[in-house]
Amino acid sequence: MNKITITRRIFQVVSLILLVYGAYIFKEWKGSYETEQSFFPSLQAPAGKISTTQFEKGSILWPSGATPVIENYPPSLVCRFNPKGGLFKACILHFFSENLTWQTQIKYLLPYITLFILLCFIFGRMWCGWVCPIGTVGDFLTFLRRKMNIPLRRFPQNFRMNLSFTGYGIMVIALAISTIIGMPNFARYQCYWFLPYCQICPARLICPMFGLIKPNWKDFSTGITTTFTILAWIVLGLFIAAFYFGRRVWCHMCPVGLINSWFNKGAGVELHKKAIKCIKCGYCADCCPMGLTKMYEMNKDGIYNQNACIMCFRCVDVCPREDCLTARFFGKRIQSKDFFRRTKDAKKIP
Amino acid sequence: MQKKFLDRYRETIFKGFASNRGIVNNISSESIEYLQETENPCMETFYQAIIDFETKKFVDTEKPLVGYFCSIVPEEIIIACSLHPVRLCCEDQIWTQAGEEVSPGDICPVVKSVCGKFYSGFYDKFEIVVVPGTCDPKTKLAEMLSPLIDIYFLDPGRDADYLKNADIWERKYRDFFDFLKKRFNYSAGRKELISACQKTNKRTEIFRKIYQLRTKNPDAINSFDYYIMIYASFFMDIDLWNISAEKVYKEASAKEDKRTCGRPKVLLAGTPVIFPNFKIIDVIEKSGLSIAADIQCTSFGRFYNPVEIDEETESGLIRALTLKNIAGSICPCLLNLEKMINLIIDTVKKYNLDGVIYYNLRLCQVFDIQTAIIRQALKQENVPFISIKTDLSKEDTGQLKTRFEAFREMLEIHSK
Ligand code: SF4
Ligand code: SF4
Repeated sequence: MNKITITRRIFQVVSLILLVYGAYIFKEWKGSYETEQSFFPSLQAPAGKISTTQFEKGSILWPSGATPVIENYPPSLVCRFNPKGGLFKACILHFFSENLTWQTQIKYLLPYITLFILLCFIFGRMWCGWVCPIGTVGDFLTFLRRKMNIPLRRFPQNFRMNLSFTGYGIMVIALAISTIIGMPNFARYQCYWFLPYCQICPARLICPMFGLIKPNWKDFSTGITTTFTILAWIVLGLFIAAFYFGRRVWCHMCPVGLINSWFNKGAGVELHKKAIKCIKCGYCADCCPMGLTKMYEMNKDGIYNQNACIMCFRCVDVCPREDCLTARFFGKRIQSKDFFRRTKDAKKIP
Repeated sequence: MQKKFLDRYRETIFKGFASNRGIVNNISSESIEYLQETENPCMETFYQAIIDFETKKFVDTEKPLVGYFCSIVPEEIIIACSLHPVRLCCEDQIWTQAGEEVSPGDICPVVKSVCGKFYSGFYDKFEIVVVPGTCDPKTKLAEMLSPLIDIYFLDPGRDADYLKNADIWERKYRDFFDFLKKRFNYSAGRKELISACQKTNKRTEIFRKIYQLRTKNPDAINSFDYYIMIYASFFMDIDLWNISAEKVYKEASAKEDKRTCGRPKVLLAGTPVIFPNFKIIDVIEKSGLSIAADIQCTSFGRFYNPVEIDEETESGLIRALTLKNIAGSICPCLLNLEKMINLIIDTVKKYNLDGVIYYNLRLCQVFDIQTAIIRQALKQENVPFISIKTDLSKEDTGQLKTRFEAFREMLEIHSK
C-alpha cells in the first residue's frame, strides 16, 4: 500500500469536485460577480467586455461578451471555461493573458500576484500533482491504460526537454499576442485573438463538460476561428494520447506548470535524499510520472527539487529503503515512518 | 530461446562421467550436525524440509521443478508460471569432491558442488535449469550442465545501471517469461505475476521483521537457525515458508526480552553462507562474537527489497522485477562496489553494530577482489573490519578462531 499516493488520489478527487462544483457546494458564494466583489473589493470590471467564442452561444450564464468576466484569481485556479466553478476559477495563464489585454492597473492585480507567489514559495509545483483538475483527468486516463494492460510509453529525456521549450514558446507567443491586442491600435483583433492560449487549451473543451455544458466544439465562422477550432482538436488529441500512453509527459509543456516550476527550487515542500541509503534500484526513476531520473542519479545527500518535479512523492512511496527518500515541509519530515506499509498488499495500487 | 549446448556430444559426455553416478544419496554427517538441536521448536518444519531435500526426496509438490542460481533470476516469474523454483546453489564438501571429476580443482566451490550433484545423478528431477551469466564460472556452468539437462541462460549484463539497461533487462525477463509459458504450456499473465509478487512481498515482510529482531538481539533466533531458514527457502514452497517463518518469528519475539546478547555484534558480509558450509558461523559464534546482521545475496540481497509495483500492466510488473532483482541487487559480479560499501556503512550505523567480518570463500574472486577497497572505505568511517579467506575444509578452524578472538578483543576495546 502506498500511503502517500492514496492520500494524493483522494486529494485530487476532492480538489476536482471543489474546483468544478465549488459554486454548487458553497451556495452563498454563487460565483457571481457581485459576491466576489464583496470578498475582493479591489475587483473592478473593465468597461466594454470582449466577446470570445468559446462557449456554445446562449448555453451559459455568461453569453459571450455580455458579462464582465473578471474573477478572483487564487494561484493557478481552474479553468475559466468551467461554468460552475464560481469562486474557484481561472488559471494563472488566463489571468495574465486577460489582464494584459485589459491593461488592468497593477495595483488591482497585486493581491493576487502576491498570493500566488506566496503559495508557490510554500508548495512549489504541488499544484500540478495534487490539485490540477486537468492533471486528475489525465491521471484517470493513465489509470485506464494500466487497467487495460497497455504498456507505458517512455519518452527520452531530450524529447521532454524539447517539450518544455515548446511550452515556453507557446506561452511567450500567447502573452505577446495578449499584450498586442490590448493596445488601442490593435483593439479590433480582440474578438478573435482574446485569450489565445485558452482557445487551444484542452481544458477549454474538457472543463465545461464537468458542468454538463456543451463546450464550443466548432466555430467555423471565420478563418481564424476555424484555425483555432482545428488547433484545439489537435491539441486535445495530443493531450489524450500523451496522458493515456505516457503518464505526465504533457505536464512538461503546460504553461501553468512551467510558471509554477520557477518556484520549485527553494519551495517549502521539499524532497530529501540520503545517498548512503540508496541501493540504486531505480524504482524512483522508473515510477516518476514526469520521467525524471535525477533522483536516481543523485550521489550526495541533499534536497532534490527539480523544476519539472510535480511533487507527487510517488518516488518517496516506492523507494524500498526506509529513510532514503523523505518528503519534508520546511525541513520537517511529513511522511509516515512505517516502511512495512508498502509490502502489505502488493495488489492495491492506486 | 532455449539454449542447447553440446547436443552432438551429449551421449558421450553423459557416459564419460558415469563413475560417480548413484553415490551419496544420504545426507552427509557434517550436515546432520547442524540439524541436531534447536531452541525454537517451530524450526522443525525447516529442518525436516532440509533433511527431505538432502536425502533426495526434494519437495513434495506436483509442480514441475525449475532449478536456478543467483538472486538475479526472477523467482516470481517461475512461480507465476505455476512452477516450483529451486535455488541450486550449494557449498558441500562431499559434493565438491564428486564434482572434481568433471571440473578442475581451482574453480569456484559452488560450481564444483553443483557439477558433483548433477553428474552423480543426484539432481535428476529438474525440468530445466536457469543459469544466469553473472560471473564467469556460472557462465561456464551453463555449458558444463548442458549435456545433462535443459539450460536456460539468462544474461543480465554486468552493468547494474538502471538508466542504461532497464529496457534490455525488461526484454530479457520477458523472453524468459515467454519461454517458460511456452515450454510448460501454461498461460500466465499479470494476474499470476501479481499474485507471485504478493507472495514474495509477504516473504519480504516477514524477513524484514526477523532481520530487525536479530539486529536487536541476535540470540532471539540464533545464526544457525537463521541460515537454516534461509537455506530452506531455496526449495521450500513459498507459502509454507512464509507460514513457518512467521511462526518462528512470533515465538522468538515473544521471549525476546528474556534474553540479552552481551557479545559484540558483527555484520557478516561477503560470500554467501550456504548450508551445510556453516563453518564460518560456527567459528564466529564460538569466538564470542554474534552475527547480528548480514548483507549476503542469499538472504538480505534476495529478501530485503520488496517488488514495488508501480504499474500493474504486464510490462510494468516485469520491469519492477528487473529493478528488484538486477538493479537493486548487491551482487559483486555487477558494478556494485559503491552500493556495497554504502550498505555496509549504513547497516553498521543504523543498527549500532560493532564491526564487520568480510568473508571470502577461497576461489570466489569477485568478493575477494574488492576486499582492499572496502577495508579502506571502512577505515575512513572508523568501522572495525576484518577480512578472512577460507575454503570448505575444516583444517583452519583453530587459526580462524584465534583471529576472531583477537578481533573480538579489539572490538571490546574499540567500543569502550
Ligand atoms: S528508489 Fe530509493 S533506493 Fe532505489 S534508486 Fe531511488 S532513491 Fe535509491
Ligand atoms: S521526482 Fe518524485 S515527486 Fe517529483 S515528479 Fe517524479 S516521482 Fe513525483
